[in-house]
Amino acid sequence: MPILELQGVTKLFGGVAAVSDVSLSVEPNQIFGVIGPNGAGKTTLFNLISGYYRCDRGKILFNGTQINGLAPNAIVAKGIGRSFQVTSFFPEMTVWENVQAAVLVKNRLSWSLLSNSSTACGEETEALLNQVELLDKRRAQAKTLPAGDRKKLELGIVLGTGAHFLLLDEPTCGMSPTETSATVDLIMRITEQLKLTILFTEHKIDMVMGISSHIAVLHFGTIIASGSPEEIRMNDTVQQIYFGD
Amino acid sequence: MTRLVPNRFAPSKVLTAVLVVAFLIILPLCLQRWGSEYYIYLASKVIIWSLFAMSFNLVLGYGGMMSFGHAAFYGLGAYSCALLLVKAAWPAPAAFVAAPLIAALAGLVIGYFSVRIMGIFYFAVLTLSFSQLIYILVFKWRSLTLGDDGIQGVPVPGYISTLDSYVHFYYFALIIAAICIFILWKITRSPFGLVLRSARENPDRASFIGVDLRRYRLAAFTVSAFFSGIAGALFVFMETSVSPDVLKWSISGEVILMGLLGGMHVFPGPIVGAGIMVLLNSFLTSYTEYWALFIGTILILSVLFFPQGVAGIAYEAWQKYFGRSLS
Repeated sequence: MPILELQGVTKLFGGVAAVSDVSLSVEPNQIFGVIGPNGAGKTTLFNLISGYYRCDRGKILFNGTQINGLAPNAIVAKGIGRSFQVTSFFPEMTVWENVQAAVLVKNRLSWSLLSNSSTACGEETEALLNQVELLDKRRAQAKTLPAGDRKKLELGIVLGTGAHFLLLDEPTCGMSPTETSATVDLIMRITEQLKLTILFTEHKIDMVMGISSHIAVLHFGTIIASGSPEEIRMNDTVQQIYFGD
Repeated sequence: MTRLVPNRFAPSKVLTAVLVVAFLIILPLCLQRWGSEYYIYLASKVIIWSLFAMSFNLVLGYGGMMSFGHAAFYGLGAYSCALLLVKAAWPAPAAFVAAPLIAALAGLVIGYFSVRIMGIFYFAVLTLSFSQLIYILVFKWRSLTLGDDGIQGVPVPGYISTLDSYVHFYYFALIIAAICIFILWKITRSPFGLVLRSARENPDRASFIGVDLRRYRLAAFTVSAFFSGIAGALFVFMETSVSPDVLKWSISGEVILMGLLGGMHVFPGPIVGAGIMVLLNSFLTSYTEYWALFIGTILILSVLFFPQGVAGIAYEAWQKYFGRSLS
């Protein structure tokens, strides 16, 4: 059974379809890449899955149950975590607190009003920070981190929610080739360790081709091709649109 | 920006705390000997406003919600306490406990509608409207509240009576405020406090770690209303009277200014703001009737040049001087 299934999902903005009749299914432990030019609807698609937008038509199933219509926090509780194209974290809080906040919410401890937060969920937070290689920077204020570390921090936050299905919106956006490969290595390692399923978008075609087990090509809000990296590379329409003719 | 959540007390902090406590205990005795009763009254007023400003800051500083209607909870605390004592002849302790509960209930209802609104401006307008509604209600409902005549001669138990001296009341207010502020401090350091701050800093990210923003905001708003209600009840015990003035929008404005002036991102900031505002207000009014002009000028300058507030500056200086981050 697919872990995530989209059936005819459509989102209109003022009558214009940003995402139109998109159907796809992601199998457990897959690394599923979504590519497409700017404005193809990739981010809209993520916003639909994560509950930021509501679908105008269609259904989104996660582990067989419908999740469209749920609020973002309810979708997080189902085990879907997301990162943003523009790294999103809590700038004034420390690196530790950033990840801890997610862990506290996941463990339903965040309604404790009078206990001390500094030690709460310490081991779990520490393990996560270790995993994303930020343990030595745990006392730093998040906004002081360089761009690469911010992406790692966001990954730590997402993992802190207990998500086993990650939506990563351009996880290496704005990174140099060295940073990109380091980040990709990190993501791949964690995916392996935690048996995650990943749905991601990216502009860097080589990277997508390199790590994805399955790729869908989005163009003007519709999926024009879907298959293994080899199939996508051989696809005539994709060739035309994406790689130029 | 700065935060005050040290992991453990440094010895110098324990010393500071001991000195502050000692100062607060000796203060009325010194004022009685070398000053006058009026200064003890002022000190008590600072305590009450400190509690109000600290409660308010849970909403503004930690929750990121610009409530422009907090006079409603302060005023409802005051009126509930006064009416229960005068009209229902409740014993003082019972009225003192019931008053903040009524304020909290009002906080729950007003908050329920207000936290649905996104955006500082709309939130401010909605909370202002609700508090004006309560103001008008109290003002017009003469049969219950005596309207703008207010309620006079509220019976206050002898042990905190301000008839002869404000000293007993001062200690009572100090103890109550200290307990409440301690609880507020615990809340800001709790997992709830951390998640509340995360929702202020980045609401989108917060909801994508599973935070139901409305529920956390509503909880903070209600807790804040509760403690504001205690401040209102203390006010009645001190003044033994209450008029619709306690519900005026200007009270909501003053408590915001205290937060801004003192520093809303440093835990004791609002206390500093309350102290400055109450004392300035009292001293300037004895010299000029244009005191509001001076306070306005000071505020404009401080917001323009020291947005972190007086306590914020002090905290930064402390960090710089002692070279130690508290976070």
